[in-house]
Parts: sequence; structure tokens; C-alpha cells
Amino acid sequence: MKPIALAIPRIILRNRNLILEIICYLFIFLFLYAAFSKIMDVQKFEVQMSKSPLISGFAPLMAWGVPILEIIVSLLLFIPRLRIVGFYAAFSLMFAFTGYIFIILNFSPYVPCSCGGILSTMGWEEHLVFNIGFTLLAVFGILLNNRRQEGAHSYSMA
Amino acid sequence: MKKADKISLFLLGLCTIGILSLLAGLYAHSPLANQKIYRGSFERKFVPDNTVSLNRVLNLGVNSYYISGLSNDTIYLSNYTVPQHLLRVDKALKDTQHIRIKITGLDSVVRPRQFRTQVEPPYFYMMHGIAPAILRGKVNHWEARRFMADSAYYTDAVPIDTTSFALRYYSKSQDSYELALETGEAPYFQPNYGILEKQGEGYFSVDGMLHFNKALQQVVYLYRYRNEFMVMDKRLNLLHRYHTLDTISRARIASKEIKSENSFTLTSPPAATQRFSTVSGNYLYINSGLLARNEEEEQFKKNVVIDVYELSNGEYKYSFYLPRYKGEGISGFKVFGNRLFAIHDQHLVAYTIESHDPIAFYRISIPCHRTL
Repeated sequence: MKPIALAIPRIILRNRNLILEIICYLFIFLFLYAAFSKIMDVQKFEVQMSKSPLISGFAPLMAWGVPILEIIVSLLLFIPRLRIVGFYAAFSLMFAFTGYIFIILNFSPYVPCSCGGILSTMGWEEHLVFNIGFTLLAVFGILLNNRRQEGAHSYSMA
Repeated sequence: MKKADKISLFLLGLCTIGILSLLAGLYAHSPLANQKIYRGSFERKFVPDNTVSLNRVLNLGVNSYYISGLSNDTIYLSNYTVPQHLLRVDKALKDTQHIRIKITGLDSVVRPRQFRTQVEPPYFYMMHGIAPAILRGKVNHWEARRFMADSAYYTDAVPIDTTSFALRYYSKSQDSYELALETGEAPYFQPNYGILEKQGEGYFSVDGMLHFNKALQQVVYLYRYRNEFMVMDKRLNLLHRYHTLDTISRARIASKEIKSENSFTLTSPPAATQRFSTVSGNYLYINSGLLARNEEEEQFKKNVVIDVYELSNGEYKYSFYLPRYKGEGISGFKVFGNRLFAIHDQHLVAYTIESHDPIAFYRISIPCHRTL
């Protein structure tokens, strides 16, 4: 079997550190924004979750659980040593959200809404694409993390 | 492939499997996996000869149409998203005519999609409960304008005659939806708190469908989540309370308040007792969401069940099935004589109700104007 090369373009490898930082901060921004917009009105979030057929039984637990989880993942991504753990956690979380939307769109007789802030203006299909994008971004981050910075300008922002 | 990548992909695979099993667990645990239709302890009467035959289908292209009027030879369709647009279709569903309604005397409307049109020749009405406004115009002239001193906010309105309307509105003093009569002359606005009876909160438990029955000159209100409908005269005086087949006398709804928005929302999907309804002649037609004891679930899922009640005595007559059209249920229907018109997503479908009792349909096809 020929080894499959997960080739990443040179230009990206040359800016590996910077790109990793950008991905990290994108995730941190996304998760913190999502978490705080939920916590700001946690009562509303709980009511909205209890409308969802998939998770209605866990609404009280998840109303606090989801934003706290998002904050923890942000912290993991923020601490350089734990960043790689954060990437796997971010991947899992985004994958779970994506799967959740997929089930709601395909199997639920009605589509409830429970996203915070600006995200609630997105339609469910848009949201699905958005989430898949972020899920793939986490995979990309993990693979990029395995590579070394190329070229002379080795620097770190962290 | 690099060794580090292999490990990464393996770990990602583990994460994926973990999340997938979590989602599968949630799904299996949720009501989605074992959707049960509530089966009541009542029985439906399906008269064999009382079948329905499909006559014709008109593809409307979009699913935002609703039936806004029926007359002897014409069906009027309005559109939720474009309120000024009206589609006139002949009874054979062959000729269609697009009409643009001109709205005059109304500077700006906050939410134009709130407009609901009803065509009752020789007039048509456009009702907007938040503006609030009731506009009237002549059929064939198609210019809608304000014509009476209307100022009450409402959530639903039906024309009784050319200058009086039955409204459902939110009453602050009662903290509940209530019915009221709005008229062109004094007293203009007259609520009747004695019709709707709230159970707990005053929104969902009294939610329902408001109709005016031209043949009997009666106002009808059917609760959405319980087994009751009320018949009122033109002045909104209660004449009768009648019960539908099922035994759900208390609305099975779970609602919660969103405190920051000062609003109520339904939490669990409610038992959709009565989904859609219409009145025609002496009859009330209800599309129910409940399964009867003598019904097969498979049949029920493939069809849309319509229960027929007699309005003069509240008696249940019989039921019939409308087959789903291209897999779609209905989003509204109206009956005229023995013709039934239903909107199945983006299709308008015309049916004939084959009656085993032709006299009954002869009787109802002639509107009898009773004076009260």
C-alpha cells in the first residue's frame, strides 16, 4: 500500500505557527461568544432546549452544561500545552453540534430553535454548513499541529 | 503518511465514534425514535360510500398559498408572503388569473406578512391584527381601504357581514385570549369574556380556530388542543358548547415563560387534537391529529382524516380520508357543497365528496339565511 501523503501547501507550512494561532483564536472567539450569549439569558436557552425533541429531557442540565463545556474547551485552546487536547475537544463538540442539527433537520417533525446571539439569525441549513466548516477546521488544525514550521521565520505568538 | 498523522486520525476516529454513539443514544432515548400517535378511546364512522375522489390538481409552484375564498364558480387563493397578490382559479382548476390588490390609505405596514385576506363576494377583506387594520374592497375592483373605525389589536378576525367582525384578541384584564365583536357603529368593540375558558394560562389552552358560517349565520370557535367547539350567534352570544369525538377535555400542553422576553412558548409538542377546520353549510369539518380505536395506524399515516360534525346539534356524522398527495398532508382546506379543496404543500387539490345521502348535500348547497 502506498503511503498517503496528507500534503499541505508550502505557503501554509511556512506560516504554520501563525495559522495555528488564528485557528485557535477563531475557536476561542466562537465558543466564548456562544457560551456567553447562552449564559446571558440562560432561562430562555433552557426553555428553547426543552422544545427540542432530541434533548428535551436534559434541558436543565444542558442549559448550563453546554456553555460551561464551551468555556472549558476555550481554556484548553488558550493554554499552549493543552492546545492539542483543545483541538480534539473542539472537533468533538463541533461534530456533536453538526450531528445534532443533522438529526433535527432530517428526523424531527418540526424544527425548534436554540442558538444564541447572531447565530440565531442563521437558518438551519446555513448552520449545518457553518458547523461542518468548523469541524473540518479542527481536523486541519490537528494535522497542521503535527507539522513543523518551515523556513527561517520561526516565531511564536503565544 | 506520517506517524503523527496516523495517531491523530486514529484519535479523531475515536472522537467521532464517541460522539456518534452519544447522538445515537440521545436519539434512541428521544421520542423521535418511537413516535407514537395518540390513540383515543373513541371510534370513527367510516361510511363506505362516503369516499372522496380526487378531481384535479393545480401546481401553485410555492407552498405559501392559502384558500381565501370560495364561491359558486371561483376559488381565491392568497399568499402569506405577498399579501397584495391574489390568485383566482375557476372551479375546474383550469383557468388562473393573477390579481394585484391596491392598498390605499395605509401609509406603512409594519409586518405586511401578517395580512390575511378573505374574499366574500361582493367584498374582500384584508385583516392585519398588529397594524391594526381591517381593509375592505370590492371584488373585481381590487382596491382595499379602511372603511370603519377599527383600532383594536387582534390575533384573528373573520367577517360576519360587511360591517361587523368577530375578533380574537388578547385581553389584558382577563390575561387571556377572548372573543369580541367589532362593528362599524357604536359600541364598536364589544368583548364577550364568557366564551373562551382558560385552563391555567390564557394563550395555548384557549387557542383555536375562528369561523363564520354563512348558511346558519353563526360564529364557530374550535379549540385546538381540546375537544370542544362553541357556536355563537351574530352578536357573539353563546348558543351551544359541543364536544368533538375525542376525550381530551383538558389541553395537554406544556408551556413555559421566557422571562426576558415576557413571552410564552410551547415546550413539548402538544397533542394536536384539532389541526385544521372549516365550516360549510350545516357542517363543521375537522382534520384531527388523533387516532381512533378502530383505526389502523398505517392508514392514518397515509391519509388525512376529516371528521364531520353537524353544527345545528353538534352531532358527529362520519369521517373520511383524504389521501396524502405526493406524500404531503394538508396545510388548509375548505368545503363548498360537495367539493373539497385542500392545499397539499404547493398543490391545490380538488376533491368531490361522494355522498351516500345526496339530499344532505343538496340541502347545504343552498345557503339558507336565517334571521336571528
